[in-house]
Amino acid sequence: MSKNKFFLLFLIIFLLSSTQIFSGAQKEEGKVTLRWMDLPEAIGDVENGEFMTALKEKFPEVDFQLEPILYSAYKEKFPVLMAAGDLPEIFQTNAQSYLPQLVAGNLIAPLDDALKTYGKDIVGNAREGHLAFGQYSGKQYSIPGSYSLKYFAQNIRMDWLENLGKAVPKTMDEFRDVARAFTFSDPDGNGKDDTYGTAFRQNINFIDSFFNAYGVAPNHHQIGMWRIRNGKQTNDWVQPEMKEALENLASWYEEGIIHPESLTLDWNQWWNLYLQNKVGMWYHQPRRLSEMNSSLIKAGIKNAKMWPIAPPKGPYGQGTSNEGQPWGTFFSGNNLDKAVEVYNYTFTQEFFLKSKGQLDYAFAPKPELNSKGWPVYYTYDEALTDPNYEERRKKVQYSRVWTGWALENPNMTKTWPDRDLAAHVMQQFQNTLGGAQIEGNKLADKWAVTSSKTVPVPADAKYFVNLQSMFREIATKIVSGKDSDQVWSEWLAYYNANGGAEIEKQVNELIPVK
Amino acid sequence: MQGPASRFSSFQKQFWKNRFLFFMALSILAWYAIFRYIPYYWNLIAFKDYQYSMGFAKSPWVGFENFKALFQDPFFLRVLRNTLVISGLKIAIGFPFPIILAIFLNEVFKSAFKKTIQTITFVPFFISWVIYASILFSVLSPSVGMLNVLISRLGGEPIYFLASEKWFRPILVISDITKQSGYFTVIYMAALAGVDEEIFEAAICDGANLFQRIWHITIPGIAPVITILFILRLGQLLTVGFEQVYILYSPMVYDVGDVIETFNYRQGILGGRFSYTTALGLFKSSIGFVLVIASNWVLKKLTGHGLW
Amino acid sequence: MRKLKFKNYKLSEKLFILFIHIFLLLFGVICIFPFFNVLARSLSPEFYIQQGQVWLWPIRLTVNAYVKIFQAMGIVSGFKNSTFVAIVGTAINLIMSFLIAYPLSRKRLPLRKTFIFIVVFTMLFPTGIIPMYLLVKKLGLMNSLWALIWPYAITTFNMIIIKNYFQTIPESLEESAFIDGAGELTILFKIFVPLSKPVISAIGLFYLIFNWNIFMPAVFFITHPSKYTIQVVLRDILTQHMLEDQLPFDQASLMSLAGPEAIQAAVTILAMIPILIIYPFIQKYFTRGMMIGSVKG
Repeated sequence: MSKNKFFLLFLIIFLLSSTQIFSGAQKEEGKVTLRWMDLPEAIGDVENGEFMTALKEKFPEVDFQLEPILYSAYKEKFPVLMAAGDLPEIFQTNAQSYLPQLVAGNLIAPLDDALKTYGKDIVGNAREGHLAFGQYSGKQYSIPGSYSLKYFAQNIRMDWLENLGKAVPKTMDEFRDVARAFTFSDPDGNGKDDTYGTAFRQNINFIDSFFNAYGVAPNHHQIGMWRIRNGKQTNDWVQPEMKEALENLASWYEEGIIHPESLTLDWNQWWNLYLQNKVGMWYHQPRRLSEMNSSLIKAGIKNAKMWPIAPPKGPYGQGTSNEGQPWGTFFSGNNLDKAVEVYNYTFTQEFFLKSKGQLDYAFAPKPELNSKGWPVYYTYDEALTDPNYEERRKKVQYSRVWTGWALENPNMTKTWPDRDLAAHVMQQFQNTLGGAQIEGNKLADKWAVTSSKTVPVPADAKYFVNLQSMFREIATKIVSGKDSDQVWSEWLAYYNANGGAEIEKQVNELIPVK
Repeated sequence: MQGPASRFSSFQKQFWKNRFLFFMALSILAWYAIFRYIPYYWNLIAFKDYQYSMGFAKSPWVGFENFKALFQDPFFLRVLRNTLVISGLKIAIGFPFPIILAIFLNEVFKSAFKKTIQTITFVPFFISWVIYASILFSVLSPSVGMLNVLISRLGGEPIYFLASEKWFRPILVISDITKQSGYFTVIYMAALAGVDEEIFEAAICDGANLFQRIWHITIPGIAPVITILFILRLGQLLTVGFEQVYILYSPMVYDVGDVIETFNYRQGILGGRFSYTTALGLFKSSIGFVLVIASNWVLKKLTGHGLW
Repeated sequence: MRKLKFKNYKLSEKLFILFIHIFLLLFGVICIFPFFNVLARSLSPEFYIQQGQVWLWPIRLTVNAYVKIFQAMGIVSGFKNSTFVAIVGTAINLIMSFLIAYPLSRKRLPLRKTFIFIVVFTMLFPTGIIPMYLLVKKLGLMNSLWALIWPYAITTFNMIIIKNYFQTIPESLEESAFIDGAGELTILFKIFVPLSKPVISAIGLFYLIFNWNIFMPAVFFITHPSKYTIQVVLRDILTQHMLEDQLPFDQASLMSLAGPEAIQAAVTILAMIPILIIYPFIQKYFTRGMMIGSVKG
């Protein structure tokens, strides 16, 4: 080949790419562009789904540009969009991580005015007190998702208790006694010494019931629990009770009644231990119990029954943790009124019927409507037995954009004019719950302790990540058996020198003690 | 030759003679200018207090404040120490390993065996660290892991490898070798393929034995590549490999396993401290830069091969 | 030509050769073990993997995981997009690398040291993702597959290896070509490139792997699902089948999420296959002696 031919080839490639470069997206005349960043669990065919079709029909003047971010890459991409000043009109993110930066950077707009005019259904249908999770320095900055991080429970293997002739434990001491029996008395009767009392995930995660017995807790995402002590906002992280709680866990760990690999387990390994019939106590969301139990039964454990019970009563308290809802929908401020109007529409009765009920994050409507033309959801039993359910649920779930809509919100249909329809929908929600979840939700309503600080303060932006990381480290060290007095005094010194005091000061200034 | 060329100095003469070569390089340097050098302006935020509300241009200059904060950070010494130790071990053991592998493969007679091994060693490179780690977890588990079952059978105490401050670093180094060696072996094999076969034959005729051939032919044959790769690897002295550490570590082993990259990730991606992490990045790169210049100079003197 | 024969070896040499074989065999086993484990997982029902029963052999063989992947949306377009990026990208990678490696390898290049310095500098000081995002946006490459090609057109590490090899080709070769009236490009593509087949095929392989596996840039620069590369689609399928009660949007565990393990294993195998098919064809260039007598002025 001659050199001319090579240059020609090179030139062609350059030209090809430059045509790509300069043929940007054409804007349609007279249309309002709404970029809508979705954070789906999976990227399905949202553009052609019933959800978007209903929206496009209602708002022909809007040019919707959906921008899904892959769930597993969100954490890397979102800060870049922020720094590049390229956030869309409507997007989802985690208030705990980004709210102070977003507000300080003028990257999001306060919604109070727009909500008054265009957001009647958003406000009217919100769960009681729920909008507070999106408030910051006196203004509404986001619409928190309705899905609540309140419904956690202490669960225990009832069949193991029965095999061993033990009563349901109530106090921390009784729990310890049962954990011993679970570990050393062969509760599953397989003749092998392969079971443990309880297990947690690395970072000492998901064992909050044991902490709340001491009147402190790290919380599910380990953002820390705050409580009012002596009329002041205080952080559980540095209370002396936290040290006691950790020492308690350390003595459990040393005795060998906590699964020894808990210090390094990731989510999957932790979950698999339970499926392998190895651990007797589980602290997590009861809505997952049906799957765990049916898996165990499938594996040949005939009477397997992991079931929610009241959390252990300890020296300073009793409870499970309620983290509220840090996730929500935010608005960049461009075309704000239109964006809020569009978002509000998704909470209305009209939209519910138009989109055939394909709104909820977790539940799926059946393909057929009932005789009145209303969507019907799979009941709990149907979901377990219908072989097509999974397929259907996925199809529905991945053809919609995530909104704050959730069947489990008791106020979800408050503004709807057709009260019969509203009652029908709320009944549908009840039908989707299984026994374990009904029981667990009841317990959570009774025992859940809500953090007195559910939104970040400005100082969090600078200090939170390091403090959290350090807390995880010292908690792990104490539980693994390192000298707790020394580790704890180092932690207190670190906390005070690295922003802890400043955060506390701001929390007391900004979040009123109720 | 008559004409304008005669008026040129020797540099200009050389330039004129090689002008086409020069512009060939220049055209590609244009790419470097656009896609590598233009984005460098962003590094200036290491000397600013970057704030979202002001953006890049308006954020205030703070001089070396970010670097000061970095060196005063109680975490910084720990991550620097861990990075140096782990990376040092990886260079000391992990760097020569593919070379040995290539030399060994080169002495294998049976071409089928050679090709199979070469393919096999390349395979782990494609397995992501997430999966590789999950296999490691199950092999190293203190309760059911194969290795610990073996240790117990031999009468030893099971070891909780991934939570052990003693074992965590060796595990990083060894798993890195088993996963990545095949990739670099390819480079050495390619270099060996370029060594003239006649030299081998001449050596055999001269009665050189196996060890002499390795020492006098094989190794000198790939010495230039080794030198270059070594210099470049030194440039990455403060790079350990983010994914591997991030997936394998836990707070149990932060004291020995938290490295600059994981620290940087927590500060930058999770903490949003872009000025701070950019300063850290510049520090890291500067060390690498100095090391490259120094090692290039030394190796050039010693071996005659170098980057430039 | 005298052939090396094993039986002519001395005892110490024989022992050493034996050692080499045992060593390679052992290391090979360590390397292949994860592959078989992943393969076995990909062919077993999720249940048995969770129970910790699958080691090197599938239990109750099933191709369910693969079926699920092939039924997923976007697999075909993902494959097409990745093939485009892999082929066009690798071609551009190689051509651009030659065009800079060749001049840099020649001592007669004016300002050679400066140029090398400019290039090596970029390897030590990496480009941040934020300015790259802004640049790609400014160039109008956003949401185009070219955004996965142009910003990564040269990997300096690879280019340096090519340059380093070119350097071993004696200058006498080009001098005689110049006398024959050849230009620089002719010399590069007619003499240098053919003489460097082993190195070029190794580097070509590296570029191909990079392009085929490109993931983060695709996440940053591609917003429309129809332009996703295969790696993004596969990751998406994985998240779809992820354990659902990862707390919704659990920050702590996003990185280490392992989906149901059979799907994850199948995804690994599928991503590996195209490269493993190509590898043997490239491997033949790594054989000793294939360049017999090639480099002679």
